[in-house]
Amino acid sequence: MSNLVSDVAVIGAGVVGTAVARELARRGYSVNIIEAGNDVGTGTSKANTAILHTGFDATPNTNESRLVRQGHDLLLEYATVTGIAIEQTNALMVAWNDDQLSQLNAVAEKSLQNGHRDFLQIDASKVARLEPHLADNALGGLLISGEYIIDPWSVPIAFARDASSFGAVFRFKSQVLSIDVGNEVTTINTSSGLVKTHFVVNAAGLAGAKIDEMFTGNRFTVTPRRGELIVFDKFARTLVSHIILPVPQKHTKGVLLTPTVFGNLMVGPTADDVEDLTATGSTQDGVARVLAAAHRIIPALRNEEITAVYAGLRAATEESDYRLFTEQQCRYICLGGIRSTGLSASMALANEACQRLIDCGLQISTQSVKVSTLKMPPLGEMQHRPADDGQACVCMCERVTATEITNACNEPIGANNLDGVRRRTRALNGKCQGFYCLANVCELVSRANAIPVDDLLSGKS
Amino acid sequence: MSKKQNLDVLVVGGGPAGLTCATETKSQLNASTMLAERAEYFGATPQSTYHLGFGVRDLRRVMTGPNYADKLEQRARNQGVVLKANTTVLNWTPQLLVDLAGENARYEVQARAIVLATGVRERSRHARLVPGDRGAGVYTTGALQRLVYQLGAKVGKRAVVVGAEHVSFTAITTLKHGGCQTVALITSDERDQTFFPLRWFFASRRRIPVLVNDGIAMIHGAQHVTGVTLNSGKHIECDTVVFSGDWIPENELARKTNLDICAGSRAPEVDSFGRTRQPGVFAIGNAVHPAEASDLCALNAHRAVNAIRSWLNDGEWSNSAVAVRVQSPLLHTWPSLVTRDDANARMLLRVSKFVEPHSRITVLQAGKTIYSTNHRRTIVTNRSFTLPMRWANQVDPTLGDVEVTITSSV
Ligand SMILES: Cc1cc2nc3c(=O)[nH]c(=O)nc-3n(C[C@H](O)[C@H](O)[C@H](O)COP(=O)(O)OP(=O)(O)OC[C@H]3O[C@@H](n4cnc5c(N)ncnc54)[C@H](O)[C@@H]3O)c2cc1C
Ligand SMILES: Cc1cc2nc3c(=O)[nH]c(=O)nc-3n(C[C@H](O)[C@H](O)[C@H](O)COP(=O)(O)OP(=O)(O)OC[C@H]3O[C@@H](n4cnc5c(N)ncnc54)[C@H](O)[C@@H]3O)c2cc1C
Repeated sequence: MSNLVSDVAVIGAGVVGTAVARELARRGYSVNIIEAGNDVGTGTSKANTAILHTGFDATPNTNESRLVRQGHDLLLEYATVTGIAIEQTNALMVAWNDDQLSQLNAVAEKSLQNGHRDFLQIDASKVARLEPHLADNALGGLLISGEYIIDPWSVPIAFARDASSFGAVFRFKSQVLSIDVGNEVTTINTSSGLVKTHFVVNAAGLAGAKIDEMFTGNRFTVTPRRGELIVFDKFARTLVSHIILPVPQKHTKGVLLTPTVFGNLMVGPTADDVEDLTATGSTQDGVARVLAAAHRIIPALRNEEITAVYAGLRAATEESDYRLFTEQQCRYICLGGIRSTGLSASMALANEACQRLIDCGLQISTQSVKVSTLKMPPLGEMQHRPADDGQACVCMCERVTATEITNACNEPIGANNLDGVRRRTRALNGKCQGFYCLANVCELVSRANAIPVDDLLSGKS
Repeated sequence: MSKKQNLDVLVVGGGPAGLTCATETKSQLNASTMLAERAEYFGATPQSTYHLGFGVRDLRRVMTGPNYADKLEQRARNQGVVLKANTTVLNWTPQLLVDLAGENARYEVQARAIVLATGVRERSRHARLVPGDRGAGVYTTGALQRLVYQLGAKVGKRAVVVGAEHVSFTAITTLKHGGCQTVALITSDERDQTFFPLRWFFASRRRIPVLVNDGIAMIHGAQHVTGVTLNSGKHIECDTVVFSGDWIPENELARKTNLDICAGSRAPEVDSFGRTRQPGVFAIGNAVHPAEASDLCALNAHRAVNAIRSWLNDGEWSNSAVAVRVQSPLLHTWPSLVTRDDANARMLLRVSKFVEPHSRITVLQAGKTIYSTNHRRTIVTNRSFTLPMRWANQVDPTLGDVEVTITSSV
């Protein structure tokens, strides 16, 4: 394998890297995907607020604004075709004081500049009518159409399954250690051996700057910005029907509330700069702040149970826009600083990367573009799922059947550990967090993968 | 193919409460009875609770959890209860037309009475908002038991158990069977909440400390737990954390069907016969008193049978129940609704902090004391104390809520 030189190597199998790999493989290029983790989407892509943004509030005339806008439509179509759970909830930006109220005009103006005209300024009584459970001191709002919620885990998995069916090769547990750019061939030294390639795409997320440095020397730094999130149990979702956004202000960053396609309500994220690229733990202070905001915005949330608490790290850099670089000489593209909109922009970033690679000298492919027939399993609360027909459930809270779990392990780009099963089936993600079903799920995953239960439990696999 | 059928009684949940209630309605009332259990087996948590102590007050025998569960299942079968495993009750209409999913079909059942016996679970690390990394090795006692006894899993080497009530102490033995040593129990209360002999048997003789007035501030370890930092600043190295107790009723169905929910326990409001405010809908077991031993769940299921009889025979549904309200340090009571019929029941009450001996417990209605007593013993957290309900005779259905208070002697 290592003697073969691939057209392109993609570093990182997050939502961005898998999208790029899919697009390249679809166009007929040979692709290696090099990923340090043991699965796709184990970095920032697994811990976000799962909104398919329109980009209405992006900074106009930036890469981010352009790519989120394009990516929105592409992913909307892709999700619909492949059956990834997606729902149009639209968003409601709510002003809680006069300052915020006056700010709404500026937001509307920005939205126009971004080419998004589908919004409506509404008064307090309309806000209350649309969202009757909001605290009663809202002064007004901006209703933004076109915002969707999506299953964030299935997206990179679907991209990877497509890529793999088009011939792309995934190398997991392969951390890039060093890179040697030769005249025609670049050799990537990974923890699992050498990978030879003509072109390289850096989609390493938080490690993007580190990889970039291997090519060009120090150009930018990533300061992880931690976002902590709380997921409320199913009943909380009945309290909100839109994504509830805070009005962006200079010094304070509010949190948002969003329904999830799995039927929960998510609140967060915080925004705290941290040093450590691996600091994905939650903190007492962060959780307290999110909870206080949740209770302030929807007082009835005080009576609702919490299903999960987690944190994700945004790859923030010195600039707020994406850090996209093309280095023709070393046949290298950097997709860096994809901070807080990478899920939405992923498919547009993939097209962007292809174009930039061609600009670098990658031959335009003469093959016809490959077509996928991929169908993802129905995981959305609004979709028709096997348990709805009375198939026996293993995970009771999320109503997941044994067949779904076994399939998730056996399908291409399958799950080989408990977290992989969570993301592919919802099992263990419900309110009991395994009180009832952990043993049964372990048994199924252990059998499907021929991994001892003890190894699954110790997180070794 | 329509599978709709008519039933007298549908019991939801096949734990000790549900099995007992189904057996008794079938045998005492000769009512057509079906029990739906969403898991593939009957007996719920006792099926994976291997220590002795089950069946004492209801079957008058000392059994292990699995023996007890099997016995209850066998009795239900022998009586001719229709037992449906792998069957989840999803919803019902006010007319008690029930939506079920199971045995590869989605179907409806028209019931005359529904008994909710959906039990409790322990709150997870997340539900308790314990921050930190999300490495492997964090369990609830319920999950731990199933891993160790169902799969023979080895869980780790050094465990910290959060909680110091009965179930927390039993976790020590379960961990031992899973190859794991317990290094400490941690409780936010001023002392543990079990009985002396249990504490000795499980912990003291092995010199396992109970750390009081403390809790976990942070869990460390991104891949696998490496340790915990406590609120007191103390750091403990461990690879396993077990969250025990902190019970929450499995109340999804109750909420979906708009039953009134008690603020303190999050359980549907019921009188001591399990009657909710919805005619024909009963709720029993730990679904309404989180969480008692299984034999008490079974005994209270017997009480419900009397009320089911009057409902099936006479269509009798008391709408004269008044709600019970409590004040801190009381958390919640069972029953949470009272009628005069409840006079022969014993109320179960729980507190949020230890209460010194000789506290005064008072029951009031419309500001007037209808009962007052001196409670001679210390009242312990996470464990119910009981109050005879003779005073229920004096409850006036027109005067609104009953209030229960505790005032300490000092
Ligand atoms: C709290 C939060 C909320 C968010 N909400 C949203 C939202 O609602 N909508 C939206 O569109 N976006 C959102 N985002 C942003 C989005 O999640 C990210 O932009 C996106 O996931 C970035 O994907 P990625 O593929 O660039 O990075 P990652 O998912 O981090 O992938 C990078 C991969 O590279 C691998 N890697 C790193 N170093 C190496 C190496 N040396 N060798 C091999 N592999 C390596 C990593 O293991 C990782 O798998 C949110 C982000 C956060 C943190
Ligand atoms: C770790 C642990 C240790 C324990 N140790 C002891 C002990 O030593 N001694 C003792 O006496 N007690 C012990 N208990 C308590 C004992 O398990 C409970 O008291 C008893 O199981 C409660 O009985 P129940 O019938 O009320 O509810 P459960 O036993 O919880 O049963 C409820 C059942 O309802 C089912 N269900 C829920 N919703 C639905 C639905 N929608 N459709 C269909 N089915 C549904 C559930 O799957 C479950 O099987 C322990 C409990 C735990 C968790």
